[in-house]
Amino acid sequence: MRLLTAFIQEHAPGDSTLVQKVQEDGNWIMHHISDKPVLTIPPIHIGGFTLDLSISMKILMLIIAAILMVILFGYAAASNKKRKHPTGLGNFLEMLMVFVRDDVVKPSMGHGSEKYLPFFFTMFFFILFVNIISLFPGMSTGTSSISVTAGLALITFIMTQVHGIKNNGFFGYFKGLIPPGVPVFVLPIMVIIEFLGLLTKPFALAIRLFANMTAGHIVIYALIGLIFMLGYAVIPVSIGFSLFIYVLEILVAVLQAYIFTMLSALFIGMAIHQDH
Amino acid sequence: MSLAYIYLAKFYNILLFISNDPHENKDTLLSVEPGLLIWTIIIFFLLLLILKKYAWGPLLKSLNDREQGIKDSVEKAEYLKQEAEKILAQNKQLLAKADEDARKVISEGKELAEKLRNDLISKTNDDTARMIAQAKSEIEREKVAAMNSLKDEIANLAVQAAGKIIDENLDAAKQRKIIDGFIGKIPQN
Repeated sequence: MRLLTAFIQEHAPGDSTLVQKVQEDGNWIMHHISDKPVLTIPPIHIGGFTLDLSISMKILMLIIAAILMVILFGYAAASNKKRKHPTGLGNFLEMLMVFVRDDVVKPSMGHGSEKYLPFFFTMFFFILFVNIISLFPGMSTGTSSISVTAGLALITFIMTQVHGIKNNGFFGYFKGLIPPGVPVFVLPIMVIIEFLGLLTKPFALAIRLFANMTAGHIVIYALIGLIFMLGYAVIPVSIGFSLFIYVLEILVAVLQAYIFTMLSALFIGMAIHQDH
Repeated sequence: MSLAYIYLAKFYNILLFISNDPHENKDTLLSVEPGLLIWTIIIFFLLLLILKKYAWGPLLKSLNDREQGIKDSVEKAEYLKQEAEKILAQNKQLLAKADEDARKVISEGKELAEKLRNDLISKTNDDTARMIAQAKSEIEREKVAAMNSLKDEIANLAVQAAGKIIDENLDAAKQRKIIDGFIGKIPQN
């Protein structure tokens, strides 16, 4: 922090207010990507555990995405019902749905995926909408919070266990986790490894989505911060790179929704069809 | 060099989720807040419930119906195409048969006409020949009859001449002269 302050004072000595601001708020990138409360609800105390259910900026983003989804897909459903051939928005959303169904869920999950389609549709479009909304100015990134992505990963984890147990039986499911033909002396190690594997899957899901959605924003903030650190001469470079990262973010927003859904489908499919 | 160091330090701080501000310590990047997590799950499942009823159900139904309809249509079109091809082949066969029949009829007609023509010609030739022969025999008969009547006439004339000669003075030279003159009057045929 001292180095940074020295650096700013050396390179932009005239702009004392900015220097002051950056000095005061050293972690300004953190400040931008961190959550801000919108509606404070008093925390609930359950035993020694405190639960803060305040509506924060990120939760607001999730709610906006959810409302947007209900409106758009409700409209699409009503519009497609009226016509024999879908047009416009209904057609576009249906195309995305067909993409999720045929190119994401079906190849990852194999047969019997139809039953789980609503879940994966909700998963894909929810993440997609939250990601896309985050690209609009003034919006926050819902999925750049580890809590949100952990929540989504937890849903996948619970779905995996519930449907795995439902389809294979409680003992059958946990027995099926260990690949057949393993020698007895390796068994204790395998149990530990498979159990850890069970937990690392949703962990990886959460970290992947969170990191991807956070990284782009941090880079954009850093690039814009360069303007205040190095002076206005770097504006073209900063804006150019920011724009590049921003466009990349659009790709990442779609890609991460796709990857999250695909891996969820893969995990749930693996839990259901343990024989292969 | 110092610039690179500053940025490295800055991002190292972020990566390690170290906040320099004591007030934001609870708000670091990798700390899971149960409230946020629970809200996410609540919103997700509410969304799933609402959309399942009002969006995914109807959309999937219309999608499946349409896909089934397209599949049926394609299958029907395929079937109809096969049918049409069968009918076309049948038609071709029938046409070829009809063509052959027509050709046969024409050739038969031609043969018949040829035969009729030949018959007619030969018949005509026969008739002509017969008529010519008839005419010839008629002419012959007429000729004979004419000859006979001429002979009678000559005999009569001879008798009349003889009577005249007897009536007038029978003079040998005169008689000779009369007969010669008479015979000279007789037409040559």
